[in-house]
Amino acid sequence: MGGTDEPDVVPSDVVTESIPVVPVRSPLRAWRFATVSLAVVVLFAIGLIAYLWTVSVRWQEHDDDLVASNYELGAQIAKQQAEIAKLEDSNSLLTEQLAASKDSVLALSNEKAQWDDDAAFAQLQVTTATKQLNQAITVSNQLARCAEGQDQLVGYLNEPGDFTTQQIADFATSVDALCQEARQAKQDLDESLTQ
Amino acid sequence: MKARALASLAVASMVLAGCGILPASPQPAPSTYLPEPSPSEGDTPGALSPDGFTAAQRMTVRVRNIGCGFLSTGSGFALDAHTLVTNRHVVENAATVEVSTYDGRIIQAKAASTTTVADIAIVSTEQSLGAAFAVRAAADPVRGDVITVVGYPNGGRLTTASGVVLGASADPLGGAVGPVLASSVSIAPGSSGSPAFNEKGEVVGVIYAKNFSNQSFLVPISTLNTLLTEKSLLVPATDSCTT
Repeated sequence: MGGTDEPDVVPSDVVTESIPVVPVRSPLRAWRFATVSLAVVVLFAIGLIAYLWTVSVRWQEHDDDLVASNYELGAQIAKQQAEIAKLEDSNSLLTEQLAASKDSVLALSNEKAQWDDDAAFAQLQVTTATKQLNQAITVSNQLARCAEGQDQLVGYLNEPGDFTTQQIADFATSVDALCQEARQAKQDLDESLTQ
Repeated sequence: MKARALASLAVASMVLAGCGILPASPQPAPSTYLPEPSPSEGDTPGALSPDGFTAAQRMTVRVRNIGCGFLSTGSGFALDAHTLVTNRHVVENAATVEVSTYDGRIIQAKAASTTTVADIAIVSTEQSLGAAFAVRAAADPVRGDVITVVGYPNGGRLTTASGVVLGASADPLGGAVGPVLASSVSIAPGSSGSPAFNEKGEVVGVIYAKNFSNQSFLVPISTLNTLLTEKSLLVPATDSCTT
């Protein structure tokens, strides 16, 4: 403790740094804040619970509706399945009947076509026969004229005084030509008949 | 104060975020659970005929050639209500051409056009051939494709036969300009002019010949399409009885 020692007490007016001033919280304000916060939370929770309750009730109703619909649809499906089975039986029967009907239609159509073929062929034969008949009539006439001419020629030859030799020769030539035509016509007819 | 504001903001954010995960109320139930009826195959045009016959059967016709002193039969198919396709040799030397449908109707042919390019004839009629007509394929079938031939073999019943395309070939009769198609379908005299269908029901060729190996030959659809486009290739057929 000499005279050079520094003093132990620092004067109060020699303050090197200031001390921060911290406001003192009131306990009442803190409680108020907590209360309000809690009230908000409780209200929010109540709202949330109400919302979830409502949603739950709606889902429950929806579920009930779906179950009821399922039972109804199940009943309808069972009824429809029974109806389908019945219709399938009818369908099988009708398919068989349709197949039989189609077969009959094709068979009848074929028979008709064959008859039409026969009729057309018969018509062709009638046409051909008519043509051959006309040809035969022509041949018959030509042969008759040939025979008649030859009869006449025989008569002229039996009475040579009525005609000159030249006249008889000319007549014989014309009869021969007539008979030649008749023979050719008969040959054509024979060929036509053999075709 | 700042801390309290931040806390309030955080709480508000959490509340808002929490609202997002809350379950929603159910949607209103539909008035009916029954589905709308879908169109059946019978409702589509051409799927089913009113009498149970297929379109291929209904469009295929029997062709009767009444010539001067002879009668022959073949097959053909309707292109439209008054036009049908058959082979040239089916209507050759005809005085009269008659057409029979699958249900027995007899229709008189009005005129016929033929071509030297292929064994094809186009015949027109006064009366309607029916309501089923050929849908021509855009391209020829290739080797291995399944085809179905509908026709009147031996002038008898309407018959269906199937086989596969064996590939392109030169015309065994030597008359066609382009290549023809060989197939394994078994045919008989009277099948000439029958349509050959692919699996989609489109006409892909016209039967016109067979060989001793029981292979059949088709005029390819590309040739028919060309002939129908180039009308100048078709010339009217003449009545043999007048020549």
